[in-house]
Amino acid sequence: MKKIILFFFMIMTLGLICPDNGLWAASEAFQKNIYNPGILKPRDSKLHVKVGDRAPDFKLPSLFHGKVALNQYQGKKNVVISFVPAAWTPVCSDQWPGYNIARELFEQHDAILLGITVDNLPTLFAWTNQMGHLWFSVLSDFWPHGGVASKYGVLRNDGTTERALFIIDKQGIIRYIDVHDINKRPQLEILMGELEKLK
Amino acid sequence: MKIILCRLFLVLILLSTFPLSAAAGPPKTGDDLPKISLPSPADQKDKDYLGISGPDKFTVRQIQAPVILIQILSMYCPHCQKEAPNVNILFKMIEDNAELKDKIKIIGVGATNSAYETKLFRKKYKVPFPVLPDPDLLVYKQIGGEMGTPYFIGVSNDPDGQPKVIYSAAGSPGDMAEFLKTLRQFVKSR
Repeated sequence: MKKIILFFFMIMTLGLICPDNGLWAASEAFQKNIYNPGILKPRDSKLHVKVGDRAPDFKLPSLFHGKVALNQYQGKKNVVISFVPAAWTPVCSDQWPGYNIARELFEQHDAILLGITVDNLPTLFAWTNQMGHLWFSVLSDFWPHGGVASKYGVLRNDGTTERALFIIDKQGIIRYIDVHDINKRPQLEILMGELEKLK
Repeated sequence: MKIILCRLFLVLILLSTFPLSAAAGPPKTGDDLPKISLPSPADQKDKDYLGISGPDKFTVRQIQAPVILIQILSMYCPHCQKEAPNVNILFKMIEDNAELKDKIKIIGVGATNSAYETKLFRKKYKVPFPVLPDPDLLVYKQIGGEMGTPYFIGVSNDPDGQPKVIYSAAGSPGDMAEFLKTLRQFVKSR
């Protein structure tokens, strides 16, 4: 009988934790194409880097810009890396379009943005086409699967990545890390505030 | 023990029905607008546009116009970005029309957006009407939730009763001249 009571309490607790369906005010642009995985474990990986470390270099294929290497920006630009978990999912689909209208803010901080997911290029092509023309490079960490995410320590156990932001300065040093709750979108002003500190 | 189980069932049923009433979806045309409490704009120009005063919250009924158009949007939503110039055209059509100016007001609600983010959206698209931040979806949920963005709700703001919904739909309203015809049917002098 105790087990039955415990079971009911668990169900009730779940009911209180799970938000209603309206929590993600998803863009109408994606309404019929989004796979909703529900509420996920906020964080499911362990960082392999920390603020002050030299950022692990990488070279990944991108949409429209060929292969993009981190070190090509060294000495020239601050780099913001935005890992998002997966294409065609709720929060991710409403994150990069916001960055897309914030280009001037990135440029004011002498920064470029690299968007990375573990999806392959055809998927990224179809997905980002729904966002309009993106000004920043979108990189595929598909093969070896999540290799770069793994180097940084943001590859989750299910093969997607964390929703993570890294700021790397012109010397190639990591200056900011935000491994965000995967279910929530980071606020833009916090990222811009961190870029401001590089000045 | 049976009594305990029955009570647990009752609590479970009550809890499971609560979220439905908290987010039952947006109101339909003809419905009363749910009671919503909007954050007062920081900018005096926006307050003057809406005809409101005070630093805190305001209600749709307090807006000094017989018709209000509420646009639920997000800075992060590509269709909202695409729609922004069209809504600006609608705003201009209203403001340039002596009969309609002061009779139809537009407000945006930035679902999930902070004040910083709504400010960026307004700056980027030169949005002339107030866009109120709703970072925790408080307004969004009061309206009913479960709306894709952009979502448009037209309201007939009768001072003698609860504001009535005269338009409720997701996505672009289409041709703004036609949409304005729909809205102006409900313009009455106050």
